[in-house]
Amino acid sequence: MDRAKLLEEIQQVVQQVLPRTVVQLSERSTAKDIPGWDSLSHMVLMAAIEKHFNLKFSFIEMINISDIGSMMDCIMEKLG
Amino acid sequence: MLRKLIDNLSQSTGTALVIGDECHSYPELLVEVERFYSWLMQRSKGEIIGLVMRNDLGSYAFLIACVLSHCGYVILNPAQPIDRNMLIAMDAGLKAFAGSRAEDKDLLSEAYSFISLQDIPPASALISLKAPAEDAPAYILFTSGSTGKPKGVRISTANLNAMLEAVQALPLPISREDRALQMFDLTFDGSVLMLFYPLCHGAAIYTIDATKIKYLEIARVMLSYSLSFVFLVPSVISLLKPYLPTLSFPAVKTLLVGAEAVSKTLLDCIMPCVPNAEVWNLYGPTEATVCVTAYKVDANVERELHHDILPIGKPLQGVLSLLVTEDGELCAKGEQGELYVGGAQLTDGYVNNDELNRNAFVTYMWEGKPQRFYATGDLACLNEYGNYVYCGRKDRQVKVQGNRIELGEIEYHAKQVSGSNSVVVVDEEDGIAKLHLFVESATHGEAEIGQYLAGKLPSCMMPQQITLVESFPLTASDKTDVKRLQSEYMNKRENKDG
Repeated sequence: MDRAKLLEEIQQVVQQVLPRTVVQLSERSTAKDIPGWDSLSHMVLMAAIEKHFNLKFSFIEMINISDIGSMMDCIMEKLG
Repeated sequence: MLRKLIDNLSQSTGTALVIGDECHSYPELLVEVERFYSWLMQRSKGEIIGLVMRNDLGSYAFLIACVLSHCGYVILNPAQPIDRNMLIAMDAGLKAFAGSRAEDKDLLSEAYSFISLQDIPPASALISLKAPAEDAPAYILFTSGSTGKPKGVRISTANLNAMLEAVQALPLPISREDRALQMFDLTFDGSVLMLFYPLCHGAAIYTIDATKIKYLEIARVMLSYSLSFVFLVPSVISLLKPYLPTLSFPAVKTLLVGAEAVSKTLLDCIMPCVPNAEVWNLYGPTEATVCVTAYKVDANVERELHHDILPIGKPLQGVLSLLVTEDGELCAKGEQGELYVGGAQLTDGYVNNDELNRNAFVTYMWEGKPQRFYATGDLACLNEYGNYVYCGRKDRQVKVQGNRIELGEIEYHAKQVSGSNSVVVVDEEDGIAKLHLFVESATHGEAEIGQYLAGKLPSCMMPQQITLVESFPLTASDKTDVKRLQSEYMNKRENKDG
C-alpha cells in the first residue's frame, strides 16, 4: 500500500470515529490539531485503526506514535 | 504541615519537579517560590490571585507561593471556554491574574490586571519563607454547578494542613527517596494532594504533559522514572487495560485510587502490575479538602465489596462523619443514608452563594457540641467492619473520568441553545463512562448544539454524543422516562449495527 492510499484510509477511520470533526489529515497532524481527539477518542480510534488494518499495536509502539506520519510508519512496518 | 514544605524547600538538594523530562531541584524551586512569595506578600491579605494553568516550573512555583503567602490561588484553565473563566474570575473576586506566557493575558478581559511571571523581580536576599496563618486562604476550586454556573469552594490553610496531616497519619509513608505522579489538572483537587504531600516530605513530583495522550503518557512516565507513589483514577486504569498484561511497575510502593467509584474487577487488572504496592481507595468531596475517608485494600476485600465496588473506608483523623436519613434523622446501624462530613478539613463555604451555603451545610450535635457538616449527596452505609460503603448518588451528580459533573449544568446550556428539553445520561462502553445528551424536538442540529456547548463547557463536560429525539417517553407521573429513553436508543443502535 502506498502512503497516499494509507493516509486516505486513516482519514476514513478518523472520520468514522470523530464524525463531528472535519479535518484534512496530513502526515504531520497530531492529536492536538484535531478537535475531539482526546484520551478517550484516542483509545477508540486506535482500536478502530487496529481493526481496519487487522493488526495490534504494542504499548511501546503506541507511545512512539507521535503524529499521523509515525502511525503510518508503524502500520506499514506491520503490514510488511 | 506547610512548615515541612518550607523546611524541604530550604534544605533538600534533590529533585523537586520533573516536567516534560526536565528536572528541577529543590534549590531551583526555592528561588522561584521566594521570588513570587516576596511579590505576593506586598499584595492585600487574603487576596485571591488567578493563575493560568501551565505545566512549567514558574506556574507550580507561583501556586506554592500563593499558598505560603497570605494570598490564595484560583486556577484559570486556557482549555476552558472564555465565558467559564470569566465567571470564575468574577465569582472569586479576582483583581489580578498571573501567567507564564504572553498570550495568557488574553484569557480574561482588561478589567483584570495581568501579571507576567517573567516580569516579577527576584526576591531580596533578606526574604525568608514563613508558614501562613491558619485562616489565610489556600485556594478556591470551582466545581460543576447544577444551575449552569460553577461553584467556588473556598479552602483555607487550616483545611489544607488538616488534610495533609490526616493523610500522613493513615499512614501513607513517603520520603525524599520517593518519586510521585501528579497526573491531575490543577482545576481538580487531587492535584493539591499530589503536589503538597510529596513536597512536604521532600519527594520528587513528575507531572504529565497535557498536550500528549494522557493515559499513555502516565504509563510512560511511570515506567521511565520508576515512580513509587502514584494516584490513578479508574478511567486511566480502564484506558490502559489492553496494555496492562505487558506492563510492570514494581517500583510502585503506594497506589492510591479514587476520585470516582472503583470496581474490584478494574483494580484486579492493575494489581499484577504493582506487586509491591500498598493500595488505598481515597474518597472525599472538594468541600472537605480532597479526601475524608480511606480504605486499605487487603486480602479480605472480597467480603466488603458492594456490587463489585470497593468500600471507601474509615474517616481520616479529625474528620467527623454521619449518615443521615431523608428526614434528617441519624441512620440506624447498617442503614443506608446520606454521608455528612465535618471537621477541620471542612470549607467555610462557597464563594458568593449564600443560598447554596444554607442548603449544603447543616449543624448537628457531635459529642455534645454543635458542629457544621457538609451534605455530600453521596449515599453510603457502614458495614460490619466499620467501613463506609458507597451506594450511589442522591442527586444527578456524576463522575466521568474523575471529573465531578452536575448533569443539570450541561442540560441548562443545552436548553439555552435548543430552547427545548434535554437530558444527559451516562453511557458505559467497555467500562468507560461517556456523556450522552438527548434533545427533544430540537430546532437546531447536533453540530450547532455541540458548537454552542463547546463555548460554554470545559471539555470534560462535553457530551461525546448528541441525539435528537422527536419526543421524550414519559413515566406514569409525566416525568421524562430517562431509563426508557436510554434503552430505546440502545435498541435502535443495536438494530442499526446488527
